[in-house]
Amino acid sequence: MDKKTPSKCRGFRRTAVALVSLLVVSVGSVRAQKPAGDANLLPADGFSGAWKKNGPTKVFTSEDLYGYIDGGAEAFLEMGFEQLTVQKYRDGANELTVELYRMTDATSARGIYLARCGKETPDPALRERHTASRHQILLQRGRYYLVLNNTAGGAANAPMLAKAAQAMVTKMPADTAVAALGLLPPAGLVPGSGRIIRGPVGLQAVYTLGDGDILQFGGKLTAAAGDYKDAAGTSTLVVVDYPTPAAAAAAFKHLKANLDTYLKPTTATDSKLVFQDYEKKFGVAAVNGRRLEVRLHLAKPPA
Amino acid sequence: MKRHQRYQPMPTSSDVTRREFVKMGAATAAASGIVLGVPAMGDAQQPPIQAPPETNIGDFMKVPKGKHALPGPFPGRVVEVKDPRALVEDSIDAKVVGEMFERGVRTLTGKDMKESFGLFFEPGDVVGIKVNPVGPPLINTHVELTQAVVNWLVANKVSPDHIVIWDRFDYMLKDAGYTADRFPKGVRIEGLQTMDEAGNTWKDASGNHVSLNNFDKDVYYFAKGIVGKNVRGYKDDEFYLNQHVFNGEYSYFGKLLTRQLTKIVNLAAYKNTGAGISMATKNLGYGSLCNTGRLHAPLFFNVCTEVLAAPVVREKLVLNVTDALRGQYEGGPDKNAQFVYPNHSLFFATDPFALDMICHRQIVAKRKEMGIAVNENPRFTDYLHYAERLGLGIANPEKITYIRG
Repeated sequence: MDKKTPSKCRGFRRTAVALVSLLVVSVGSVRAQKPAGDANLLPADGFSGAWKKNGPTKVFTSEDLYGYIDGGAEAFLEMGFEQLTVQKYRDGANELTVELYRMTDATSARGIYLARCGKETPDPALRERHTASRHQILLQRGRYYLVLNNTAGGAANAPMLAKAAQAMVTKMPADTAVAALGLLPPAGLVPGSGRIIRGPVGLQAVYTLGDGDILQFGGKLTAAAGDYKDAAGTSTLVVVDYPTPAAAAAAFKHLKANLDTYLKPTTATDSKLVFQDYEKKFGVAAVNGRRLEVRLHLAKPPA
Repeated sequence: MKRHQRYQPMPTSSDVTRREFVKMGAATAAASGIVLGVPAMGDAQQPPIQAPPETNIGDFMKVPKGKHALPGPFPGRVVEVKDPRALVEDSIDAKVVGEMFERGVRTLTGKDMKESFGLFFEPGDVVGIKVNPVGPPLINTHVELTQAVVNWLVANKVSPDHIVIWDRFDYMLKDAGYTADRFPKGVRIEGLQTMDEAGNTWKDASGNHVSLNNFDKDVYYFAKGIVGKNVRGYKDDEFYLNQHVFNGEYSYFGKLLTRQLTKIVNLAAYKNTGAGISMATKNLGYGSLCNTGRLHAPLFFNVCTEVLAAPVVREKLVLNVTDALRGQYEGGPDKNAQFVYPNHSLFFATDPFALDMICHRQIVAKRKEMGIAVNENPRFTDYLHYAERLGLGIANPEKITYIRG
């Protein structure tokens, strides 16, 4: 045996240990690093009068979003969340809080905006999709969802909210079309009622069809929901576009087998399920190719 | 390891085993369905109802009820007092709120303030006032209402140092304006725990949470297999422990409740959480103990019933006032100013479940009025019916007496 071999081995081992240690340290450093956030999009000091940043910029990721919105993070995570940047501003006793949510894409941002905006009351000074009051502006542009809170609520601060929004939107990438809303047929759609759904939390806000991931979104699909008005009254339509007809059929089968216990099936075939709900109204789920459509709150059972 | 129970179960003729409680849970939907007019389920396609995780509710219910146990002297009685002068623009009028408080108590009890005091309290009581400081300045329990309660107690010879205004987190109380200068000298303002938002200074020199000793390891809410590690959005144990002090299957009650307070007055805010509400029962259900992050997904509203069934709450909670001077009909439980509105009301009840049922229905009506998507699935009030079956309150709207005072 070559006498140098052990030494070479030891040297190799030392090198390997050093490399592994370096790698571990590097990974540790990466893990320890807090993401930079979107501080570059925040309003500069003096964006309006004497308003200035107050305190550090805080950044939250999907791993610690509960640290900021305890109990409410799930809706963001399900819709597609990347990062939240929070910055407070102060002018004397008045405070502004900027929450800038960077979502995974424009669909996620529009989805969370539509889930939270309520009846929109726009400010003429802003062009982006938004709603404004003296307390708050909610705004969506591209993959960003922006919340501006006038913490003290004084009416005199309302123009400041719009100025902060204006200072930020000019630095954001342009908005893009949200194709998912095109799943909803336009005839009879109640304006402003469109919603985007990407999982059970979003679906629950509209209707409870069953426990868990009842429509089998699997964290990958995007559905749309909207209200429709016709002579028979108002109903709600949920449309899910699956990647294949087989996936749609499987989701339908799962729904049929696990329908919420407060919904009573009245008729069922391999592609259609009619049920009566707790208000004695009717619903119908029907699968056709890649699409699963669920129509809810019908006054009469469908023909 | 199962820990020793402070409340030793005592055999009674109505003993209910844990297994029977699970069965009761399984029967929840059907029973509620009958109450709410849902057709009975008989279809072979229906899956079995998923049993909730095992908890120690059975142990709670084995303890015989005492003199002040829920639902108190007025089961199913809910009073609403409204006065538009209480909130004008952004200003709360403390005098008007004080008048509303007195009118509400008198209407609830049918007695004057002194006699009403005697219904709920005894000499030497240490009274905890549970407020909700989340969402200031818009949707928290307003200081002016808490002042009215404190004034009533002091006027009836409760020593200020026997009054404790409390919430789970100390820093939230301060943010909501709960400072010593706003109350008679001696009134204590306490959080069950502290939390460091930066995650660096919440440990003591020995590495334990600084609030560890604020919780009573002998008195707990147990939920089998439900731990914080499984909660999405919590990055690691350290992060979870900062907010929750303990991990694991046990949520310990604050020592404040188990060792100091002899009576509780519950002052909730008036707001939604998803398709349900976050009001009287949630204010105590999630505000009396630690390690609650783990409970939201698997048990959520059931916690609002089962924690209130614990003798440490059930036997001490004498009065509930829900602060609906402002309401929030969407975007809760956190403050969402877009959905906050002036409501000018206070609600009063000894029965928190009847109170929440009335408020749930009013929030649903408000959501409809404002064009918000409303999911009226009865599951969002199942926990109230569950409480009725446990004998803790009334949830059936037909059995609730709702009075506008």
